[in-house]
Amino acid sequence: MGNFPNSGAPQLGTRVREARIEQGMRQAELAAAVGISPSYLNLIEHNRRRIAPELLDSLAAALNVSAVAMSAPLDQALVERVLAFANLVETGPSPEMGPSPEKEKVNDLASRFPGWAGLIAAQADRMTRLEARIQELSDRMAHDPALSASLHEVIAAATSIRSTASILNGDDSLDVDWQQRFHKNLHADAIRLADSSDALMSYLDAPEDGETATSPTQEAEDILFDMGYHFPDLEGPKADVDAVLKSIDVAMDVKELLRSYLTQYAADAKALPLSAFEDLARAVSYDPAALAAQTAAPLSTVLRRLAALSPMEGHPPMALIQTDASGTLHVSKHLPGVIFPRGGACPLWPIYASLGQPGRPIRQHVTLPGTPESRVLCVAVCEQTNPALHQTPRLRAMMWMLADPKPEPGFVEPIGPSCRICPRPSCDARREPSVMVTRIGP
Amino acid sequence: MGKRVLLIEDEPNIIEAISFVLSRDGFTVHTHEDGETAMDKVRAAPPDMVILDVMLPGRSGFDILRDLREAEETANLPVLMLTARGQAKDRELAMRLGANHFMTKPFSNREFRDHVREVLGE
Repeated sequence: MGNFPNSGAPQLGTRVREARIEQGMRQAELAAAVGISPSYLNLIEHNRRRIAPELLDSLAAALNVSAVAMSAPLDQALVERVLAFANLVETGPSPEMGPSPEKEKVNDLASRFPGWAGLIAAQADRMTRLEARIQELSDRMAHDPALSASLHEVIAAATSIRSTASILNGDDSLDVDWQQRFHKNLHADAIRLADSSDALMSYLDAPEDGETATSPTQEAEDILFDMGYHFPDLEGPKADVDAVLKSIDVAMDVKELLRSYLTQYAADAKALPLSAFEDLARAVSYDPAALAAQTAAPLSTVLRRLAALSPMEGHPPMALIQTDASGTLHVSKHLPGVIFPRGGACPLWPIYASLGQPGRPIRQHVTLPGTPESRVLCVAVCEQTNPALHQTPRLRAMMWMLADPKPEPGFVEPIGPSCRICPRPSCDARREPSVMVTRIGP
Repeated sequence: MGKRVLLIEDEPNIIEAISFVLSRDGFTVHTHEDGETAMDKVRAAPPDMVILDVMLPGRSGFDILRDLREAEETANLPVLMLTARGQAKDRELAMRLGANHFMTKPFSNREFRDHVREVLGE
């Protein structure tokens, strides 16, 4: 029977045990069926012995399962996502959560119950996006002058109506002239209230299909997220951006944002063909500097290309964030469990420091809040895109992130998502109080 | 003649309603709609009390309050602040700057009249 590699399925023994239990077989029974000792089978089931392909065939046959299905590699990307979620929800005390998740069993969970693990990971992604959207809406509520003016209009009209109606209602002896005057004011304010309420609702109104983007940029980012940030049709000599865009039904402004992203993606794919880049990336442990040196490609191209590598192909989770001089963040690729508010993000993210030194990359390990804290390697670089001397510099910065990197000696910067939802009470870069700090106490 | 109240507010219908309510209670009500020139009005005709809106054209009510407290002749002038923003930080700022009381819009006329009397010590 076929030659099935064992090395990509680290929890194979667990799967054998699970299948045996499902069949209601005792260890001695299965061991006898495949011609090995029960003690050896026990070692196999506890992942202490590798399984030769022939033995795997025998076990699969005895268990009446597919050897191919049993030896499918563990979805490492799924494991990372579930683990990231476990770290994120442990940020603060939460009586309703119950016992802490058994993080050492995450491989078992992904291996034995991939559906449940996938559901957890999908909910984690959804929570990350929702929290980012809440942060964005909160920023909007706090800082949007149009929204503030609209709310003021509503309240001013309501105040006048309340006072005027109270006068009319409480004074039977009110002079006719005053009555007419106040009725006229009441009428005018009622119209004003209706108009300003309508304007406010239009401003805040969301389309009927539920959770949707608040801007074309957000919608484009959501689409890229749904498509996994990887576009096989753009890898290779016949890359056709228009063909990819044709299959996406969105408004024109969103399509133009996607066109810009995909055009850059295709150019990067041409400069650094996927297959060779993947092999090299693995060989240098995804070190951007080493990749830039070996490919002679600009660091920005290397960072974008790294972010395009899919966890489905066994690459570690990586993210890419971009910004300009406004500091507004655009998420070119999410990192599971990490929130990137569009505005008002933590000022300690290296991408902001890179804006102050165009052309000089920053490499920084950071830790994100959680129990335990998660470590991320960041490489940020800023480019000036307009060479003209007598213009305001057009700056474009990007930050690549690698989850759970190998620890290195040197300073590790503790950072957060944004001040408003960061649980670090004594950060000297804090810009505003956090809703999280009261949860974890002084 | 009743006590002089200066209402610094830019919404015409609110001005009319509040003026009517206070006049009926025996107060002499003067009004001013522009934040930029509010201090000139106070100096020109010193009132017994100021009712001060926060959101004004020209200057915010908080800036005017600060000026009132910094000037010797108005340092102790009773001030009731009105605002459409009910956040705790606005209330804290108003009290820190020296307002005697703070009300958020919309409010009931009864509550408003009670606060005016309280600020005037009646």
